[in-house]
Amino acid sequence: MDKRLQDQIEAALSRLSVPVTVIDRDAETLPELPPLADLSPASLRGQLYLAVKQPAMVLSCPENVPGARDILMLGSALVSSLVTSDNRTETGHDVYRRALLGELAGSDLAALSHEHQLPQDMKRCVMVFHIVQTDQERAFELLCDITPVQERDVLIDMDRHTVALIKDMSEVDNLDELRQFGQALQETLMSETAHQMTVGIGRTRHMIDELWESYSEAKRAIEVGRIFQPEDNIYMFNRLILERFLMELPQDLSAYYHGLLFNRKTQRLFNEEMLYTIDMFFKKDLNLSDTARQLYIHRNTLVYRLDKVQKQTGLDLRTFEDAVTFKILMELKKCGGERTGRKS
Amino acid sequence: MASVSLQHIYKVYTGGVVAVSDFNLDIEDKEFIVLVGPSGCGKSTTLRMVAGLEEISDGELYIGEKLVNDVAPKDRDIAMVFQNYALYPHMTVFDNMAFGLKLRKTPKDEIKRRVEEAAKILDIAHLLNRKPKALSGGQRQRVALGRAIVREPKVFLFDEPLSNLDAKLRVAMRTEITKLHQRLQTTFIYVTHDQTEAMTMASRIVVMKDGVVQQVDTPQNLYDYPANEFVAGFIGSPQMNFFDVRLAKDGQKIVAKFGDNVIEVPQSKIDNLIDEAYIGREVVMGIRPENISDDPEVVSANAGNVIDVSVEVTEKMGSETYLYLTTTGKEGNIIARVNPRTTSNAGAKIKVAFDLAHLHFFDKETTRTILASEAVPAPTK
Repeated sequence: MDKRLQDQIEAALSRLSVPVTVIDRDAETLPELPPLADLSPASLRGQLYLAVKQPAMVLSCPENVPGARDILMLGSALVSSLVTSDNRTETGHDVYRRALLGELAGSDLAALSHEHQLPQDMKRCVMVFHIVQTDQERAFELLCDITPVQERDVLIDMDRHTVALIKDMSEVDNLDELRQFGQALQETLMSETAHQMTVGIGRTRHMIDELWESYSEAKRAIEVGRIFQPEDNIYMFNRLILERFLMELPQDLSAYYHGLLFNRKTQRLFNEEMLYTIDMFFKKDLNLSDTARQLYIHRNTLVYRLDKVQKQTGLDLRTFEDAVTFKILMELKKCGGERTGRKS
Repeated sequence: MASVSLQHIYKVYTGGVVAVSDFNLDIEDKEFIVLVGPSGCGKSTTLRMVAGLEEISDGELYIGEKLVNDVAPKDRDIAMVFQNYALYPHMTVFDNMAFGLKLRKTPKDEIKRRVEEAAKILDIAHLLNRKPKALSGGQRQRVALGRAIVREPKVFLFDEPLSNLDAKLRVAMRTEITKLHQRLQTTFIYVTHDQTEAMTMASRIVVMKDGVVQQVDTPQNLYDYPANEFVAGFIGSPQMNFFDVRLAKDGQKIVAKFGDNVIEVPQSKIDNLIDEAYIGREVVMGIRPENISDDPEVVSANAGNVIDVSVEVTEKMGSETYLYLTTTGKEGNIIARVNPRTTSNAGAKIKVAFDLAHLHFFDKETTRTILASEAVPAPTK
């Protein structure tokens, strides 16, 4: 339950002739109570208790006050009515936000989305925009005026640093277009406000109750992407399969296999220049000429460097299989840092 | 249009990492300035400080007469072209170019006028109704330029705008940007790590390393009169050859000795030494690949400046051939850029002659040139 609703409930209960207090069911201070049945107050050490189901809470008042039971029942009805009315005053954006956070599901989500005329079945994808520096304004305030949303797109304020865009995919050919959109928005944000942001892109979903998955994927893409591709700032969940897999490996196993290639013997070979060369060679899909051009070195120089790697490690990076082996063993090093929140 | 003045600019990050140190530069109105240097040298940080995307730790930045240290980027009257030339895929070319103006609540008629004018300059008027996916890489890059042009800024800032293009397109766009500068007659500040881009486009180049300006000059002056070993090595491809030599007296002559090799240093260079005390000391001698010749006629005519070398590798480039040579007293290869019809082959032992007029000398410790500058003063525009 959010703080606003909680305050509202407590204010209403305090206006009753007998003070009724709210006790959270999970609160550690809750005294041992007999099983609380719906609509039947229970008595314990001079206090009456009544359980409310939605939201989960326990109301309490002194037992010796005349009409205490009725007042407690009245309090319970008051809480239910406030919650219902609060749900009704929720905007479509609030419903989306709670759906993305996984707070709404099933019949509640169906009812609320129907009430707010939110499409149940529509091809959608969630993009997450994360801005670290938000000293002056929330991320949403920075983005809401400059994001060129289309008619059926929805921009949601998630928290101080995070904004989610539920993007209508009906006219989007592929997820790469979302990457371009993200890049263009990054440039707009930078030019207009001097803020930098990171973008995560989840996978496409159709049903409204699946949107939380796309949102979680977009957030996970940022987490994993920052580790494996820190030079980048747009991450697509469906392009991080290898990285997500590597994150799942036990740390000792990662370290062992990484050490097979990167050890004292190869320390001098794999200097910064060599690793940069190999990285570019992979980025250019093992194309010698393109890599040499990009690195401003002669093709022969590149061949010489790759020969050196082959001589010392036995891996010929010009062949697909050896390149894959090298790439995986190299990436394993990056798995060392983040080990919490393992999700694939 | 405006001048830009950076006075004692510093960028220091939390933790004390100095990205840019005491950067001083006066950029004249309509100049095309290129900041060049290896990655991490502070060139992009400097540009981003001009753009307002990075806070200036110390120093003063003026655009025109106005101190802009604390002015928001959108109010600095600048336009920046980024590396990604990213366009909104769902918008037409017109809308992409107009988007920044719409955010600034520019009247519709004015937006239309500016977009059409920019499209005409960039020769993309026929593409205005297309979406980005129907454009080639070069056309997209032009739209990205158009987006900057429509702002009619006082200063254009380019952050490695060509680095994501393939080699062929990069060369073509280089020419386009030079033409654009001539046509718009506006101040351009351009960042690249590619010295060829810098040499071909700039009216003046700022070479940076480790956050410090190494030299500011015209492309030709940088090439001919590098202020230190770093600039000498960074500008020019293949890069200058360096030798650890001892300057010694040999009768009336001064010679540079390395290994078994002796090169006679011409009197003009001796006269140009900033300190005669260098004679008798170890210094670094530099010579560019094109100033080394394997032509038998040149070799026989220059007996005093010939060395014996072994040819390790030859690279035929079509218009020229690179010889990778080894000799005594020099670690690694010497690279010579010679006539493509050369008969020198890998494995051969040959003689090569140095063009003494183009020798460079640097202090071994400070790495600065020890020749008094002969540089032509850089033009102001």
